[in-house]
Amino acid sequence: MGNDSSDQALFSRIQAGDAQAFRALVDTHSKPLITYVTRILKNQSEAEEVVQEVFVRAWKNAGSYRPEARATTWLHHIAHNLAIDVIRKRRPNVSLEFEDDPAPASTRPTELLEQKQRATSLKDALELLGERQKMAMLLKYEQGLSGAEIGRVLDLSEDAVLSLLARARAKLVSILEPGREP
Amino acid sequence: MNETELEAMFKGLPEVEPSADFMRRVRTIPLTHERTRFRDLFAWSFTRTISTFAAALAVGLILGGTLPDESVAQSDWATLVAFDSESVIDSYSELE
Repeated sequence: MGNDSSDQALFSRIQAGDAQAFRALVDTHSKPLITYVTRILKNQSEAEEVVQEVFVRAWKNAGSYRPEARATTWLHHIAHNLAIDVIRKRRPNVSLEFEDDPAPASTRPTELLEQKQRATSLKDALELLGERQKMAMLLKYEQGLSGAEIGRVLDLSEDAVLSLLARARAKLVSILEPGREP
Repeated sequence: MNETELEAMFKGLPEVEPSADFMRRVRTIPLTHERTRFRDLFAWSFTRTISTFAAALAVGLILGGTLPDESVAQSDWATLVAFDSESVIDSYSELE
């Protein structure tokens, strides 16, 4: 994820039609965007189509990027809206399982199993949250966005995001650790 | 569960690797998609405004030129008659 000045420089070059700069943008943001959209859509091929469209828009409309927001926020905002469109179109057939995940970094069998179990329970718990709560949690804890940035992506005020996160956190903890206060 | 534990749990979620086909497709976007040119867009909208104005002016001149002079006065009288004002009807009859 880039910082403000490097994002600005990158977008200036993309605006000037620099394909190399565009490729740098793609290389930096593809994985986090695909991860985020896959978590929402639960289908990697659809997520890749959405993220491809995000990059098409970024290339075509690089001139509309404003340096007030980090590139990652701007791209997540576009990705989020496109993903919502996909959900609205296919609402009756939403799959309940994530696609197969790549192997986690750890190679020790016991660690691997524990890690996998934790990841599975977190994924299951996330599915029990409301759509917006889940998105806010993913944007904060997985994508590392700030409250203000999440607000830009979800079209909410920072206060609304903070309260959304507080409710989501409490619910998630109550699912993961029943009987324990958040 | 505290904030750090929650963060660690999310960090344990495996990232989704983009497929090779996806990377190939997106890297070639600059070759397959033309960029929106804002200057061209402005020129297009300016030309469009000018041509709309010119067309409206031409239609106005044509219509204005074909109307007989008295037709304007007659339509005015017709409006006044419609309001059923006696004085107006009288003066209209006098004129006729």
